[in-house]
Amino acid sequence: MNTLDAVITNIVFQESLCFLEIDAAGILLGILLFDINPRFRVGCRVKVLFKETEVALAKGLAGEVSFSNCFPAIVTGIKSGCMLADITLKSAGGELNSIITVRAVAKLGLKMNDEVTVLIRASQLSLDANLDD
Amino acid sequence: MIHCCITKALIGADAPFELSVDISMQHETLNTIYGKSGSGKTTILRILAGLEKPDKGFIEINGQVWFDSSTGVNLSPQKRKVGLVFQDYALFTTMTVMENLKFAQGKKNEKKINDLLELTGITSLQDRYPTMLSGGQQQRVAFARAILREPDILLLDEPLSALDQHTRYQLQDEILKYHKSFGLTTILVSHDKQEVFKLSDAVMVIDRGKIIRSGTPLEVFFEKITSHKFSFASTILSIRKVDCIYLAVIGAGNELVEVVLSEQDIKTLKEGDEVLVASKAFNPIVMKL
Repeated sequence: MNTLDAVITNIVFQESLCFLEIDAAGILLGILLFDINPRFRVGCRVKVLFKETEVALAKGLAGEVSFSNCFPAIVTGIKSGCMLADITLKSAGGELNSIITVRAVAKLGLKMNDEVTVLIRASQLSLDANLDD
Repeated sequence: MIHCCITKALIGADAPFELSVDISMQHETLNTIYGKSGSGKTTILRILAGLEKPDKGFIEINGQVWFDSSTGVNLSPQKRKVGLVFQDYALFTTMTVMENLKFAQGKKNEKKINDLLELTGITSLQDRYPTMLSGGQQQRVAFARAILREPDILLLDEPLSALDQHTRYQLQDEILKYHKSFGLTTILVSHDKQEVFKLSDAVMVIDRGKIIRSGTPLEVFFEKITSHKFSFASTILSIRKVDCIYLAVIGAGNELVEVVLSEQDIKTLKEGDEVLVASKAFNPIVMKL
C-alpha cells in the first residue's frame, strides 16, 4: 500500500458523494469518496492510501488524460518478475510504488532515473481515518 | 427496554477501579460487551443476574425494577428471569440431557423441552450424560436450558471461547437463530472481534469499568479507514509469493478471500496478524446470478 501525507484544501459535496482536493507537498490530488466522516475538514492533515496495482505510469505523455491525478516522478527501482514488475518512484509528495506488467515496462522502455508521469484515478485513492491534527 | 445504571468498586488485577456503567438496550436486540479481561464485563452480567450486588444504582427490565439502591429493592436471582450460559457449560454431570432440562424448567412442559431439543439439534442425545457429549453438544444443551426459562434477558459469558473454530462458527449461527426465533434480548460478553461483528446489533467497548465507545459494530470497529463500503476485520491465514507480488489468504466469516499484497505490505504484515480489509464502493463488480 502506498501512503502520502497531505492536507485537505477543498471539499465539494453532491449528496453523499464528495470530491476532495488535497495537497501532498505541492502535488495536487483529487479523491472521490462516499459519506466522508465529518471530522475531515479543509486544513486537516491526512494520509492518502492507494494500492500499487492502481498506479499507472506514462512516459513522454502529451495531450490530456481523464485521470484526476497526474504528477511527475523519477524511477528509483525496478524489480521484475516473470509477468509483473514492482517499480519504485520518487515524487515531490514522497516515495511510492507501482506494480505494472513486465510487458508495460518493455513498452515504456523503463529504466532507472527515467522521468515518468504517475496516473491514478480519483476513485482509487482512500483516506486513513487517523487524523494527524 | 432494559436499563442498567450501576456503580461498584472492584479490586482489579493491578489497582482498584470503579465499575460505572449506564446501559440501555432495546427489546429483542443482541448487545455485546467487548473488552480485555479484568475490565468488568463478567461483573455486569453477574450484577444483572443478581449474583453480585452493585454499590449504587438501579436495574429496570421491561418496566420491572430488579434493583434500586435508593429504595432497597433487590430481587433474588431466582426471581429474575435470566438465562445464563458460561464458557464451561455448567451442566449437572449426574443427570442426562433431558433431566438437566427438566430440572431447569419451572412449570413442567415436556412439549416445550422437545421443541427445544429439536431446535438445538440434540433430540437424539437426550438420554446421554453430559460427559458423553462434545463441547459443542454440551453448549447446545446449556443454550436449550437457558432459553427454556423464557428469560427476559439471555446472558452469554464468552460461551464459545472453549470451542474449536468450526464449532464456534456453527454455534454463532445457532445463537442468532435462537435469539431471533425466541425474540430474546441478549447480552453477550466476548473478545472475539469477528464474533462480535457477526452477532451484535450494538457493541459497548469497556475499559477499566467504563464504557469508552458504543454503537453498531460498524461504527465501533470500522472507523479506522474512512468511507470504505467493503470492510471487515480478520486474520491473515497465509501469505505466498507469486511473481513479484504476494497473495494473502484472509478469513471472511466462513469464507476465505485472497488479496494482493506488495513487497511494501510484507514489511509490516505477517501471517496471524489481525487486519482490516477494505475496498471502496467503486471497485466491486456486481453480476446477476
